Amino acid sequence: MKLSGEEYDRRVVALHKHLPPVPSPEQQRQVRRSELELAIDHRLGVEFPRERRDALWAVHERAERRRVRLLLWHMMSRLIPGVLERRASRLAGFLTNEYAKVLSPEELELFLGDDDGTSVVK
Amino acid sequence: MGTLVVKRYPTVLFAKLADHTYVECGNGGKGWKCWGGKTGGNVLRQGPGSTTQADCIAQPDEKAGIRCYLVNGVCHQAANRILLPASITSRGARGYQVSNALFGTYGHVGVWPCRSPFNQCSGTTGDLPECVTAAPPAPMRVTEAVLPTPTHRLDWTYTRQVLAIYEANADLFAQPIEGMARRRGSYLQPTERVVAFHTSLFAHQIDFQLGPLAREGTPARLLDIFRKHLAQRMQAEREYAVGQMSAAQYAARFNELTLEFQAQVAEATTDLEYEALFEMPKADTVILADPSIVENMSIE
Repeated sequence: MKLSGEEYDRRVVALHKHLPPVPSPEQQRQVRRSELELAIDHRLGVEFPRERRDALWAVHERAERRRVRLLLWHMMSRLIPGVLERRASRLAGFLTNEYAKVLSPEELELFLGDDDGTSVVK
Repeated sequence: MGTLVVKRYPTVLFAKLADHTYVECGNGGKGWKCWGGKTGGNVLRQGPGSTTQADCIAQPDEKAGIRCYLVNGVCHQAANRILLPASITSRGARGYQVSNALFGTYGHVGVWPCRSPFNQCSGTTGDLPECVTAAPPAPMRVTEAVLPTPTHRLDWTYTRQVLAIYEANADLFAQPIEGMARRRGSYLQPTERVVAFHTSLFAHQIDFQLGPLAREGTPARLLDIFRKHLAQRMQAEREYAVGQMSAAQYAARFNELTLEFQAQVAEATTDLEYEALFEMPKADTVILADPSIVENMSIE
């Protein structure tokens, strides 16, 4: 069973409703984890195994460490036009490849694919 | 309460596999560009929400506090922030799953110079003047006589049958006998009669609007959906009548049931059947309850 889109939206909104404008680092980390859990419930199903959820979280955190570095490329982008966009696209590719180590091709399509069927699996 | 609509169009982000998303209010009177354009998109989703709160969240630059594009988030996260009053997201836009995985639903707060607090403008209510639909034209005076047009004749054919249903159920609308004990939240007649009355009105609507266009089984499916919807609505009415629900809660619940009803009818019908029945495409949804009106009502 999967969370419906409407239920997913409702729970994500509820997750954020009472957060301060600038949550603490721990609050942000908890919200990232909760959002990942909701995304898994919505795209892969509420019975997706715990150990694989933990594996996806580990990927998530590795991607997050790389995302933080985008700030440096943002500051470099005035000197090197287009570098931020290239780095962001590369990060998206990294995320897909790392998820692919945890998910089957079908699961990867379900998790990251678009609702119109656009494939993420190359 | 106003409506917030998220729209999308294809863009070059993430190797041309993503949609740009932006937000408008329901009548198109105001748009928020969310790091891109704010015209030419297709409706993805809409929901009831304060357009004043949305405008506050969007801030004058219409980027909703997403300070550094591709660091704190992209248009999806900016749009999601503005959509908060409607409790909907840009889910379904192409590339959304990837941007959501990278930046979360509402973007990353980040650090200077890319610090992006999410100010939710809680407590801000109401609607922007430009998002309030203009008043309908004044009704024609009774003294202005016109020749009936085919539309007039069709209206009368429909209304005549509606009136006949009302006449057959006139006792549902009778004044209670003086001195008769009345229990809040109860009907004067058996609930089954009330259900049958409303169901017969909807059955007439199905027959009139769809006619031979209806596939076999569609009217029965629609009536089944309607009966279930009606049961939930009558439950909400009872709770409101006995004070178990506030006016605002009732309006919210009514709007929720209205949207569910439209969604269930959409699932049970073809595009043509749906548009014939409701005279609007499946992509459009409407809500009917304005909490500010309900708030001023008193229950006797």
